Amino acid sequence: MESGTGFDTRPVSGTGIGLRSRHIGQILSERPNLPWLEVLSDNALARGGLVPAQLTAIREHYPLTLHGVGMNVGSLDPLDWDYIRRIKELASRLEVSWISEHICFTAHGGHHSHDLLPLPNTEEALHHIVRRIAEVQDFLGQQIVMENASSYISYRHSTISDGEFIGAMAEQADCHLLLDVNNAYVNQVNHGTDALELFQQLPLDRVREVHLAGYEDKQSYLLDAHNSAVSPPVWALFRELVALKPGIPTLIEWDNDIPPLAVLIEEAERANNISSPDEPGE
Amino acid sequence: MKLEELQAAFVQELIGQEQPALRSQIVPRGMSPLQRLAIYRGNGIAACRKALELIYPVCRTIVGDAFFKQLALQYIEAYPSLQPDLNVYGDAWPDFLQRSITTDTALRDLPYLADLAQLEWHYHAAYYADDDSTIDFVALQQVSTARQGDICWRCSASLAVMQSSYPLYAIWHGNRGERAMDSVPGLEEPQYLCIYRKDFELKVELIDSRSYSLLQGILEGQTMTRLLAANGAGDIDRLLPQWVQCGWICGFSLAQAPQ
Repeated sequence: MESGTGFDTRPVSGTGIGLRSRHIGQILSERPNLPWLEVLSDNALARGGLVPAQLTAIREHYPLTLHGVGMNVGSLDPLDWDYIRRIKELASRLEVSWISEHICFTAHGGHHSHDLLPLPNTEEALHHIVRRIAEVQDFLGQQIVMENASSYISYRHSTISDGEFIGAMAEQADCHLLLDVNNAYVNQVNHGTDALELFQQLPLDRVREVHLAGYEDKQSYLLDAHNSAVSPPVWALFRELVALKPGIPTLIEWDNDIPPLAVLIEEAERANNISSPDEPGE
Repeated sequence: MKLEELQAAFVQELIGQEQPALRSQIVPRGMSPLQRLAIYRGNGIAACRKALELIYPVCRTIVGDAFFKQLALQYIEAYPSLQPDLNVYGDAWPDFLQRSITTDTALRDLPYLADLAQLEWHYHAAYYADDDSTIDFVALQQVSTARQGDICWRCSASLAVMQSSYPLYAIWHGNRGERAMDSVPGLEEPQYLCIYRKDFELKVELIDSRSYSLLQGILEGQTMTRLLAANGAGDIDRLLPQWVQCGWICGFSLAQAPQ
């Protein structure tokens, strides 16, 4: 792998929030005390106009990370090098601390689902995604950060647990992990898995980032909706994770029915109070 | 089940093609495989519909939320997304509406809808267009007299022009709020519009037919020789300096000289 194009150029710690367009003006004018912000890569691919100008202004004041859904790493389709090249250019332009993606496939045969489609936990899928992550990392010249995805389907022919699959993937591909606690809880309810067991099976030294978000209870399943505050069971799991591995940079994700910025900042403060229990606050 | 087979079947399910082999591999656990697959189908449709709603807000205001959803579903089924970037999804919506106007009785009173959608697509594309460089006047001055006829002007990446038989500017302007306007004004002559981005601001302006013709020629990559033949020197001498000044024209290249 080549030397990094921006990895760790701007250290990230504490709890940040996902940057959403409706908050950009307020963030630029008020400069709230946030340690870092995460940009949705797929909303930031434009090379002209307001979006890149605003992001350039934001990066003057905050370390940024990139979070995407379009790299399609788990798919058997050829990698979309034009798309990945645009991500690399964006990462370089914004000097992001890291790029994260999802453990899933999003397209096949050129048809894009715009959702995170689950891979089976099989040796074949493991070997495939390991090889693809390595290809992407070689091209980007840096390690990427792969997130455990929420899902509504599990397969009969899966042979290993989520934790074993993700752990082996991270070790073999030599990538980092993004542990989404909400996704772990959604999967626990949807599939009867054990989120805490997932945490215990993962190589936590490779976990570079934690996501916290809200789900929507659809009665028969939980939808990973990112449209509400972090729920009590997810906070409880976050406490368990902090006990296992404190100090992992954490992010509040809220993508739909987006509330005022102050609400996101309150959520971030709550996460900080859990992850830094010695400091006054909670 | 092999990974290739699984992924192909999954995507087929998302576009409504039943795949028994995949369904048999899905753990039911309180919900049928069909119900579980329907969650993904619903999520994908919602993502594409949201993209269409963001790109075509005025069309949505005019036809109403419920009918827009119905049209969007038909469109999404006919035009699967082929790119990871949802900002480029929906470019065929104007053509889709044009066909729907002739087949869907509910759209017969809205003959201008396809033109309106085209305007909204240009407006959306202008927002995301690349920034422009400024014209290289030194290089321009160095073009020899013999090669001046080979100059091809380059328009701003955000600029598009269109013509319509409907009072499109008034329709677009009057329906940008939450409520549709009560009536559509009449129009006796075709209308010509220019859509572009100036700094960070999106603009829609009425232009005259001669400006439209000249801009259309430039956007098609016509050489100065062809532009002069089609539009006359008067228009070009009058309009080009203005357009360079306002940024509509931001560069040039030289067509290959004839052998």
